[in-house]
Amino acid sequence: MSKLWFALLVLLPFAAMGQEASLQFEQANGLYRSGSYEKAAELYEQILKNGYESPALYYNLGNAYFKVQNIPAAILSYERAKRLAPHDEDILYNLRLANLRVVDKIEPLPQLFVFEWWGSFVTLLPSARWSIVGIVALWLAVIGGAMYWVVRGELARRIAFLISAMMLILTSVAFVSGMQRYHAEQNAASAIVFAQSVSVKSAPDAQSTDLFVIHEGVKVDVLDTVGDWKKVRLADGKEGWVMISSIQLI
Amino acid sequence: MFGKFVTYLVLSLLIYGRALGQDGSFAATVDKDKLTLGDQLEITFSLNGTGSGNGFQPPSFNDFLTLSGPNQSTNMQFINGSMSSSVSYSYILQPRAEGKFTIGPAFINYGGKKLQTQPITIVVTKGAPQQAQQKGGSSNNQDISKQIGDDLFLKVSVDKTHAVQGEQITATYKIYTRINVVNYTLSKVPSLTGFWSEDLEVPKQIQLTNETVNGKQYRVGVLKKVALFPQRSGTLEIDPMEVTCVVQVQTRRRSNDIFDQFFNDPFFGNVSNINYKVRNESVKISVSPLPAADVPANFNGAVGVFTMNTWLDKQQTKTNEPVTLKVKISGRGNLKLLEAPGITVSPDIEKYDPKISDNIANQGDLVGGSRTFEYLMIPRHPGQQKIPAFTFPYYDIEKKKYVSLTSPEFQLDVQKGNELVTTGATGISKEDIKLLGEDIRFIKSENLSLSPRGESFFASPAFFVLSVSPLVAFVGFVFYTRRREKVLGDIVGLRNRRARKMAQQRLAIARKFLHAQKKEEFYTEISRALWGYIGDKLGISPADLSTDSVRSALTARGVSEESLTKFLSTIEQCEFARFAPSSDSLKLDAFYTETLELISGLEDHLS
Repeated sequence: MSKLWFALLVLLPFAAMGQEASLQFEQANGLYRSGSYEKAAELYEQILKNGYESPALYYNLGNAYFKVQNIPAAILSYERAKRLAPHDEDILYNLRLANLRVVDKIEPLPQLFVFEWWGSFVTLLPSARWSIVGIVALWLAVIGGAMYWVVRGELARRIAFLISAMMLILTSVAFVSGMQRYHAEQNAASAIVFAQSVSVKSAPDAQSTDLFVIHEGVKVDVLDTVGDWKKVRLADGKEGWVMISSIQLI
Repeated sequence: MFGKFVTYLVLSLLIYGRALGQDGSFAATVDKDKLTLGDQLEITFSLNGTGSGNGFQPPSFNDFLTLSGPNQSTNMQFINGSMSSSVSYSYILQPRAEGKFTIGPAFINYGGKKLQTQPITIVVTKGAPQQAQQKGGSSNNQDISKQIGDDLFLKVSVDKTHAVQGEQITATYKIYTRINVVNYTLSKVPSLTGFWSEDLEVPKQIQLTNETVNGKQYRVGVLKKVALFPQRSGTLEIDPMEVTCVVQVQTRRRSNDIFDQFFNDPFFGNVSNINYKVRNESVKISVSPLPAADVPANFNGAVGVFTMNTWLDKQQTKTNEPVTLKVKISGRGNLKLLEAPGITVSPDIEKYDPKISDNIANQGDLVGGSRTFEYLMIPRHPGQQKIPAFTFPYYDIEKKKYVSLTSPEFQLDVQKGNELVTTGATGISKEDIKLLGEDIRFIKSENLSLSPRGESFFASPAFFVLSVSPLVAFVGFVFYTRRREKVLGDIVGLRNRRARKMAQQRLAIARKFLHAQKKEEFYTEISRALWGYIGDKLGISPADLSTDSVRSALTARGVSEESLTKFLSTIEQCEFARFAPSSDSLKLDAFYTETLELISGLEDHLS
């Protein structure tokens, strides 16, 4: 209910423009189906440029790039799709296929299971959904609190207090998750290597020592920025500096 | 010499005789039976007969080193229709030790018989400068060496006796002679420990020059020329070389035999060839180490004068198509000891060990030329690759310091080849390999809803409104209920809070009556104030108010018996005084004060 309300609230001003974008989306899908992947990719990019996005849009764009063997661009699009819809099977499958075409095989570092659980829990819902859950829970907590205030019976008061407390916990969990997701959605903390091969440097300086070499399509976490240089970390924990021009933020 | 000849003659006659006498003879012959250590001996087993033998069994040559053999030779002859053949097996032996040795018999099957040779006794003596002289001639040995004396000697000359480690030293071995040398062999080649040596070319045919040493004229020939590169510092010795020369000496005979004298003439070959060993004196070279200061990091011991050229065969290539980097180091110095310069390339390029080819072009006696290192490189991944500059350091023998040659940096443009990009075989699971052949899943054509990019409900104004409003609502709710409670709610509480106020109001009225001297109204008002106060305070409704109910409620509140009694007596007094005949105003005044004190005392207890 509240979601619908929210959707109306947010989308109403864009409804007219959204119509056009949706048409373009359909058109691009048609191009893809007919095999003109390059044109489809261009059109998908056009929709993005007009300021729209959706997991499906990124996913379809990734497919188009994959078909024209532009693996890093495909991976970038899949990663963006995954950012919006972290548990979508199709996105994960195609991303895995695309990653197989990447030269470097990087073994990810194992994570502490608690963090892994929390990570997959947080990504269960996008930030918008998390905020709706949080708001609903907050309302319920308030209603529970009001009941506690009003009702006279001892048992009724206890139940009201319990509900209120639980809803308050749910609210904070939902808001914290939502905040994390929002942060992840807004700030690209990862990037895809686009240069065919990049020497990762020990310092943000072209003269510094080469630490190791990575190739197009590798996903890196961006840790820091100094001028034109980005400090990146690989999934296996190796760190170094690369030129900003050789990567694209997700 | 003559004696030996006679011996041979007799021996061969004997053999021949036997050969003639019997069908098939088998005999052993040696070319000499006395020899020195280091000399060679040829032993021949020959079978003469009309047929060939089989099952030749040589004796064991345990005391000798078999240098060669068995060398078999067959000779056939047809004389007057009858065939005669001779088969010989010969060995070249060298004694292992000095002493007297017996070479046992050899066996062969011939014509159904087993023939055997006679054992031969060989005497081996310690090596003398020369020998080879037969019986009767041994007394000549010393004479000959004396006779040759300084007419034949060997000398090594070096171009320098001081050098730094790795610097070339040229050593020339020359033979000086005033007598005829028929032949020579290098019997002991110098080991040249401490040096890396490279033979320099000398003319095959010795060219003799004339040189005067100590007033004597010698013919001089260069036997060997070696370029030496000292490998360590300190005093190194160029150890001697030994040459066995076959020299022609005139055999002088002491006898005055006319016959002998006649044959003494060289024309009659009364000159004998003897083996004569000569060796040179060793030469010491002092080698100083390379300077320890400013040694380049990757110095590999190259010493000389060098230049370096590098080429990359192409600037553009495709993945998995090889390129070749050639590094040519030319100049003079210990070229063959040069190590490949270390080249580090990006891991994207597979580099193989260099192929090394030498082109030795000595400049006179100086070893030089060029050494070429060919690095095969296969770029595995596309991109702008570069082969960084590398250095080749060496010690410049002329400038007497270290010099580093630096190569240019090469850019290599690697295009994507046609073949599938090689995936590093590591880290791919079987499942992944299976997946590699799969196609991606098809595009999504449902749920195509788009949302404006970069906007999230989280942190949007609506979100804040919606998340703050319940809190506001809750606070509002709390205020509202409070208010309502005040208006409608708790009468008991209200009465409690108002008790004192009401009592004071009533007392104020009573006071008015007091001034008006209205005794009856005064007492009525006091009574009301007390009853009302206690009722409000204890929450007892006016209907239930009675002396008993007040007593029990006050007792329950823990009010002292004294105060209780006082309160009750005051009320009683009021009731009584109301209807009693008039009393004076002083009494009323005191009663009023008493009541005030009572209420404030109760207030302390009950609030």
